[in-house]
Amino acid sequence: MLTMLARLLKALNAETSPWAIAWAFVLGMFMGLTPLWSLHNLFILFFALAFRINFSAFLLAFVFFSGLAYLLDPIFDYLGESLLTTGALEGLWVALYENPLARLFQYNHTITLGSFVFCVLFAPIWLFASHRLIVLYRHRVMARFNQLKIVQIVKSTKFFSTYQRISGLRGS
Amino acid sequence: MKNVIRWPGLILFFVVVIGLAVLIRVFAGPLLKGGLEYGLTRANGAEVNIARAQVHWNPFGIELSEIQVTDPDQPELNRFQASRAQAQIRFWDAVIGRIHITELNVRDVAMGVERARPGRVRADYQSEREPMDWRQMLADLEIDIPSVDQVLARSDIRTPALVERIEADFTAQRTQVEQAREQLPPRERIEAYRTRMQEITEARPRTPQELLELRQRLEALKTDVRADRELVRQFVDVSEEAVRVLRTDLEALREAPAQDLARIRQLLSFDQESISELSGILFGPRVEQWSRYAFMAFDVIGPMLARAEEQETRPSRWVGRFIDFDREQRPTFLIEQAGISIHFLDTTVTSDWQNITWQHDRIGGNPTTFILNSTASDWWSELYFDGEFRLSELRGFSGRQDWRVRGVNLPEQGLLDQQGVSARLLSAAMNSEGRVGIQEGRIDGRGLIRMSEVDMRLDGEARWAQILSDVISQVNAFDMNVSLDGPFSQPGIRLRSDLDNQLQQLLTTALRQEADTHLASIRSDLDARVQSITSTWEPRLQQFTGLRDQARDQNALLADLLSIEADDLSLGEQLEDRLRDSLRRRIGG
Repeated sequence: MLTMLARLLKALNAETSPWAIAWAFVLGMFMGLTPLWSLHNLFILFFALAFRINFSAFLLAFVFFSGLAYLLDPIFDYLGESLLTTGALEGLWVALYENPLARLFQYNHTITLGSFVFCVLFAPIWLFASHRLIVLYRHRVMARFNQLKIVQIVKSTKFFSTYQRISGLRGS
Repeated sequence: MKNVIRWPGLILFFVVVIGLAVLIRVFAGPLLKGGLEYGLTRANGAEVNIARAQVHWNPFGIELSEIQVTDPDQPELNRFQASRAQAQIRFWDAVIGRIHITELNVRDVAMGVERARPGRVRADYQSEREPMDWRQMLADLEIDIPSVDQVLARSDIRTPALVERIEADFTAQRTQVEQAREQLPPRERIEAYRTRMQEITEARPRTPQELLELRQRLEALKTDVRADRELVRQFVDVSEEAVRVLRTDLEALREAPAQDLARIRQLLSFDQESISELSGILFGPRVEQWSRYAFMAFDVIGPMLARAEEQETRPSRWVGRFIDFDREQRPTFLIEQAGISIHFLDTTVTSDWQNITWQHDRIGGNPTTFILNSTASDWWSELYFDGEFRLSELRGFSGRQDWRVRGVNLPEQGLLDQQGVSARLLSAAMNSEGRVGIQEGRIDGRGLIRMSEVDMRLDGEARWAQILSDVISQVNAFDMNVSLDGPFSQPGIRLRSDLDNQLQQLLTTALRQEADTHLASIRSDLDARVQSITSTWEPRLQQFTGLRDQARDQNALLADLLSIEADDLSLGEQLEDRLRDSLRRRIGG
């Protein structure tokens, strides 16, 4: 975990594209908030592995949002049930029910649909917000941050030595 | 593009996915085995074992070997086991979680078979019925067959006391009769009264003075007669009472030995209450086992389907739920056709099933039907079961089953082995028929089991077991009325049988035969006592009767004498005519 956090800080402090980290946060959110053993998460994993996004950021976002999901599941259940019981969408749901692929995606499961729709709606906001935060961090926060006593204390810890070791390995 | 794609990650993804697919393909059988064992154990409430599971991909189907379903109420037994089950399944339905089996074949189904080791029961399993412990009831019966000596000790033999009482009565009566007899007037005096009366009545007074004198003689005679007649009448009363008492007592005495013996015999009758449940103890476990076969549909499949239905509809905010959009209302679990071969009495019979599901509302309300119709074999002449059941949201679990079984040759089998008593059914022929119905999850029905050509054996150390052993071998036919009542998954079974009556009668007969020698001796003794007293008092009774009759005659004679009044005496006719003429002249008439 310490290694992973160190790698995230390295990515934040290095020249890794902010978009690569922001996309990792988005994909991690998808995987964390929606039920893990869902078919769409196979695609999320595919994107996370196949594209050059920051995998550490992805994993940390996944862990963070998985914890958050335990609190949000009743809301997702309510959202999913509301969508699935909306009369206007009934035709769509009935049509999808006869499609094995749609059934494999468990579209008719209240929490799966509710969390997925939430992620889809929240993803653009979260993507741009993440990107903006990373940029801000690099331009304004990082210098001041390094001057903080707490940061200096942290730099004297095992965590920071790990961070430096990784930085050294990468030769950056 | 080179900057966007992370080739090692892409390759790793495909390696992992393809690797997983290969693993699933290779280990589909063990995975299926584990999944089924877990799911079926939850549905059953106790351990379910499957020795081997195979997946056939084209056409898609599964094959299971050596299936054992533990009975949660008796973990040492399998409530159901089968050597092989083969199912043809619609693949894409299975992919989306809908189990649609077009054809299912299950071989060598057996129930109530002992497991190699007891199966584990889930901690959350709750039995719906207190198991009926037929064998515990043997101790509850407290069967006690008394010995003849015990019976005699508590028997109330009344003849000796009666003899004593009657002897005292007789003596008292004799004293009274003799005392009264001593007061009787002598016969000669009675004769003298008659002679005197004859003289008075035959006299012809010629003058009124003579008539007056005659009447005075009559009054004097009647005064004498009255005094003696009172004594005679007293004797008649005493002797009549003595004859009545003697006659009644002698009659009671003659009947006393027979009544005493009848009472002893009554005590030798076996208490019917204590044996009224014996047939249940002997045949209860066996009938329960037979009923497992007879009600296989309700006993095994029904509860599992009902449990599966309960588990299916359990919404939770934290785990979500699947919402059904199946407008064609297709069931999520359906076995269209099933052939289940049942291993019974070393023979295999096949039952045909249709529409096994718990969602009968989704198949047009059609029930699950089953039929087993076997023609004559070495073991039976006819075996017929048919029935149906359905689970409905409106009416719950409902159904019915009929059965008709003819000429089943039951092989040797144990009935009871408990508390030093063992019973075996060596052979018997069984006929049975009946019907049960289920409404709103409760079963209610009754059937008749007719046993003939019965050969039973019972062994044991207890005295009652030894006596029962003798009589049970004499039973060669009996009926058992079976009634079922309770939740369909765990119906309570009650047995009423005329076997209990037969055993009661046979035990009583056996006891009486054992007692016959003793009873003959008692009868002889009582008869001798009665004979002794009757031989003494019978002549006395005759004597008293004779004396009473004589006294009655004397009393009648004296009554006749007293009936003659003074007015009955009159003047002679010539004198009367003369007196009448004289009177007429005087009055001028």
